Amino acid sequence: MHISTREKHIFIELLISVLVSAYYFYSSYQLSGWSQIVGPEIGALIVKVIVISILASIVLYAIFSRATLEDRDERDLAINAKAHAFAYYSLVGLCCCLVGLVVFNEGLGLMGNNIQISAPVAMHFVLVALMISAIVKCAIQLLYYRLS
Amino acid sequence: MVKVKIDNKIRELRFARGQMTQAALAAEAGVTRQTILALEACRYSPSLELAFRIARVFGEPLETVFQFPED
Repeated sequence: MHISTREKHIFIELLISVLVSAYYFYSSYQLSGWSQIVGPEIGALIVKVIVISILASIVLYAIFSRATLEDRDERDLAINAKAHAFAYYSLVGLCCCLVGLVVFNEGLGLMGNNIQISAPVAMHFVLVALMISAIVKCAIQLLYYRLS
Repeated sequence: MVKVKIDNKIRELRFARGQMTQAALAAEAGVTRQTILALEACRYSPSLELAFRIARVFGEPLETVFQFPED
């Protein structure tokens, strides 16, 4: 099965997004759970995440995709636009879910004490939404490239 | 609006022009080889600009290269 250079790049981007997100959420949970934020520790974790993602990019691109990427043509731009549209819809959907959670929980008190939507929890929910929309973008791009 | 697949004779015209490769056609049309591949498999409909460029490469009218399917 032939995989183009562009597909390899997208797959690497997807892999890095998943790995770095998993590392961040696992580490942040170990630090203080997701219900509170300890400033210096989270700051150090964010720096680590940035460094790890840069290093992972360098290593993975060097190993799996040394070929030069061609300039994007109209088909690449069309697939990119569709993928961004899907990512946007997923991000909006998840943000609406967060708003709904806050309204029903904090505003109307309909969910009892089972779910506490504090600011740190909301922040992590938004980060999850961003991560999922990034994954959706890469997945849709790969799907369209495979379909064509 | 139902998406319609536009047929084409790109592969036949390539072979008729001295076995022109997909890469060569892609270079002349200003797209990637994967786009030419997708066009020949009718899995991608080109923009009007690209359609005209490809027709110009072959020196053929647009209708000779691309065909809109009958209803």
